[in-house]
Amino acid sequence: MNLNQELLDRILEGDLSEEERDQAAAWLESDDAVHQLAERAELHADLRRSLRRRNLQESALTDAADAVSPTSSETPTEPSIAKPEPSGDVQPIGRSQSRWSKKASAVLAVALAAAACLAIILFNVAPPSNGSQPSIASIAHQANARWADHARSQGDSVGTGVMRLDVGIVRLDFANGAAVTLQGPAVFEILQDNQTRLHRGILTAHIPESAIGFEVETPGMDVVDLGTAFGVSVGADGGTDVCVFEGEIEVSIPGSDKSRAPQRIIEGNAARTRPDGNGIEPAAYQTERFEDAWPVTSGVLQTTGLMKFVSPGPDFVPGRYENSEYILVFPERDDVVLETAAPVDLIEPGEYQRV
Amino acid sequence: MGDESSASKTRQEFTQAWLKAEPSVSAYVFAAISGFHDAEDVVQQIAQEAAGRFDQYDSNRPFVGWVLWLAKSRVIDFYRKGKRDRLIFSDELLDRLGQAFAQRAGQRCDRREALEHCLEDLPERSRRLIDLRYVEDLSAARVAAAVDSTAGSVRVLLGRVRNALAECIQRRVALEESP
Repeated sequence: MNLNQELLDRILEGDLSEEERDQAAAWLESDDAVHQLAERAELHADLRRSLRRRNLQESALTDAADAVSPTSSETPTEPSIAKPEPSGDVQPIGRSQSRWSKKASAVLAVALAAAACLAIILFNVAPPSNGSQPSIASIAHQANARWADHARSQGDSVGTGVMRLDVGIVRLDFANGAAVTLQGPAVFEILQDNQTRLHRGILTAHIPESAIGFEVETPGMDVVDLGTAFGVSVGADGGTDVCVFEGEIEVSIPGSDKSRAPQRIIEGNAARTRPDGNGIEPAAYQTERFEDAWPVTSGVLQTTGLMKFVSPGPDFVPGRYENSEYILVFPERDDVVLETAAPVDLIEPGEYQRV
Repeated sequence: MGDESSASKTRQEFTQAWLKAEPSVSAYVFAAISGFHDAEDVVQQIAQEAAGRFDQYDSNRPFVGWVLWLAKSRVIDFYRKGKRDRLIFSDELLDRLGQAFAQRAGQRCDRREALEHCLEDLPERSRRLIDLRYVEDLSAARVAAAVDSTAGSVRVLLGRVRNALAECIQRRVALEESP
């Protein structure tokens, strides 16, 4: 039986009249109908994913094409055999660029879809070897950074290994989506794409869904992220403090003594270990020590004057938070697409980027 | 050392399994919840829960079935909070729908790849329409306002674009399978 596709769409969009509900419920008694509903739902969900990704790529490619100088912009549309240029035929540059970007991004989208399917198969066949040194993260931002081991600059990619930061603030963006900001003096080590070790110093991390399971080991505890933002601080004696700004984490004693189950810590809470203490103990939720690194993790790279970025925890009520010394800035929401453009005044020449 | 490497192995296993199952979970949640923003929030909760409870997963059974079972409870929670009318989605229908997605999971990849190709051949105007609907997440009425049309005709047009894509996917998948 070929079902009314329109009814399927209305079920999926939650747009049914009373009468249609009965009709839909009766129809969905058959397994065939349930499969048709599943198939249509897949199409909706895949369209959402695919089109969003395409739009992102197209705007990125258009931006890139716009940045190219006029002479080099006459990129051939296809890397095929060169045809003699018909003389006198003037091509509107703008159009050819946008067509070029569209085409390139379409190819990219197809390649990505294929890669997503392939990756799973490859992962299963070949376990990642430690022989090669692929880039795991890149340096997204540095402020007053001085490295103790060797110089690194913004945009550099980073693989496994130890990094020693004397002073300054550095944000590392991991390929899996995790953002980690280090505050010097710090000694930080990347073990693999989602496993790191903070030997000393302060870091704050924001872990999106794509990087759930991201781990920060310290001399005093192992922190496994369950989809969150948190701060970790390791003192010279190895004593460790963690503070959960959003979501939750799981902490355990390193060496995984099986008698001690990992503990969950949810947002607005903190825990610590001390070298002479008995394991993980609760601590007061104090975010002060993370206030320099946390804004950078959140995307605020720099503030001027009396501006201060705060992360006062989940019970925070904006109207009740007072400070007579600073202008306070806090993240209200993230991952929000604005419905109207937000006007911005640029008061100094320079390079600006929409992030 | 043994424990360390086994913990990292578990994480890797979870990531792989989740990446593979996620498109089915997303479609399931969207079917039952309809709004993309709400559905995406719920999928994220499911990811967190699945990561936290991965040690309870019996690896002799399909992962996608297990996550869809977790997903059902999160969807019911969502209804309970009164965020959306349940409409026709009884517990029983949610179960059967979950089973349907679990059975279909094997061909999910091919179908997604086919969709990417099919989108290439879409006329500009149709593409604009589905962009408004799926990227901007606008209702039919708001899409209509944007393209200076009526909600009714936008619904019909969107339906046609989806039908055309569904047919194209079917054709491509059949072609891949035949030789």
